[in-house]
Amino acid sequence: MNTEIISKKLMIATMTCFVLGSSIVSGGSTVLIQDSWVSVITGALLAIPMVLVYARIVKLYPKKDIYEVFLELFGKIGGRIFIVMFTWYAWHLGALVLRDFSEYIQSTVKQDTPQVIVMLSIIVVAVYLVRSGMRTIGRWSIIVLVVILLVVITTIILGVNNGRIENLYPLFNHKPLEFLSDAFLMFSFPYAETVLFLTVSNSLKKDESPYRVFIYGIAFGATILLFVSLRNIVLLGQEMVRSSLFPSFVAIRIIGLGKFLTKIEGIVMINFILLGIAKITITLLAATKGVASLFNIRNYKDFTIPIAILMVVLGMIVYDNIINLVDFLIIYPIYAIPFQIVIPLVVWIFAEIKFRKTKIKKKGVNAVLIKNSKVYYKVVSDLKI
Amino acid sequence: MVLVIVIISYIFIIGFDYIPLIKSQNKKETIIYSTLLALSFVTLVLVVIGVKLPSPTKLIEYLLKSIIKT
Repeated sequence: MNTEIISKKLMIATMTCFVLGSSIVSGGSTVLIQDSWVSVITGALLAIPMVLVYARIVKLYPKKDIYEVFLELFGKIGGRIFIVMFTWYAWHLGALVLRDFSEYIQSTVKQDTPQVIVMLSIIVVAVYLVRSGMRTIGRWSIIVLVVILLVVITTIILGVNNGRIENLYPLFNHKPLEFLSDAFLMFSFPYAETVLFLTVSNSLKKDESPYRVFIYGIAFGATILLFVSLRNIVLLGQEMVRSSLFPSFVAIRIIGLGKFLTKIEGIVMINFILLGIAKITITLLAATKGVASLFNIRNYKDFTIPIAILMVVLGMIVYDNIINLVDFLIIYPIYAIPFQIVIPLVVWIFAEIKFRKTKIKKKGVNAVLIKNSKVYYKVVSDLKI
Repeated sequence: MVLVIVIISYIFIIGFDYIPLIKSQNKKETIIYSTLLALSFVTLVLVVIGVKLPSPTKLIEYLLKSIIKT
């Protein structure tokens, strides 16, 4: 049984988990406070043209991952430069998400546990998933997604009594430029991060449409994020959303069903971590595949453990404290431009040129074949054979 | 305590992951794996004992901010 080929549904579930990943903890960007739900939508709309480019690359090279495409389009040296860049991005993003979650766990429940232990515990699961193959990752994602959906719906229903709809007002109380910059922030974190799915695109079943996978993945992720963002604002109010680093956790803390069901944040927090593991797994998979492609090694799974530990090390040194984490998020959209926009666009243009050239060549060969067959039939009919 | 956990983890990794790879006699993979494993061990131990390693994020921040200013 091939554990690497998965259906469209599993790929969409994995992408949705990836989009939600660390964003569900914060409920998307909180820069625009009561208007932050707007950037959840506009960010997704901004991301659609870009994910269509990603999908087109997959459509042009359905049996190859992006690393193989790099080598085919840009040769051994040029291709390897792109591989190094993309592997770095996957590795760095994985470390950022890992740090995000260890900070989240440490600042909410496990204050005395060293972060390295938290990170190692998370990465062990990610290593297991990577080694088990894409099908296991897909199944993990679908289960986690169902649980998350139940959690989001339950918390919204239970939070109805505690929320104030007035917290959403005044609507659209920011400048257009602020809306645009926040939409771009949401575009780069998390929507366009789906560029890493180009490293696992060859796992999609041959007949499935990559366009649908990318669009549905983004759409489902954005819809859940929208509800989470609205819930957080309605429950917490503008000041709490502004001052809290993890608004979703704080929002769930105040939810309860009388005295019967209280303090549900513990269960909910574990589910968020499961979602984070899905995102870390994809980044680890992308980084491992990148290293294997760099050295032209087929079995990438052998390197999962050392790369995972190096991801933990990077996660440990990437920031000094949680304030640096917030600071880096401000320049993250600019840092991510080469990986999310420039490289995919360059690959797409070169791939289209190559595809058209091959098409013209094929047409030429077909024309010659048809012409030859016509001449042959004419000769045969002339000879009256 | 954390250092002990790290060392025990590496003993397990060597026993269950590294030695089977050596036995497979794939020279190229073994060399790359050994390098990565040694690098990961040294850096992880340094981090655990509290040595401050340079953060690449700070370099990225510095470079991007200087580009934005110019």
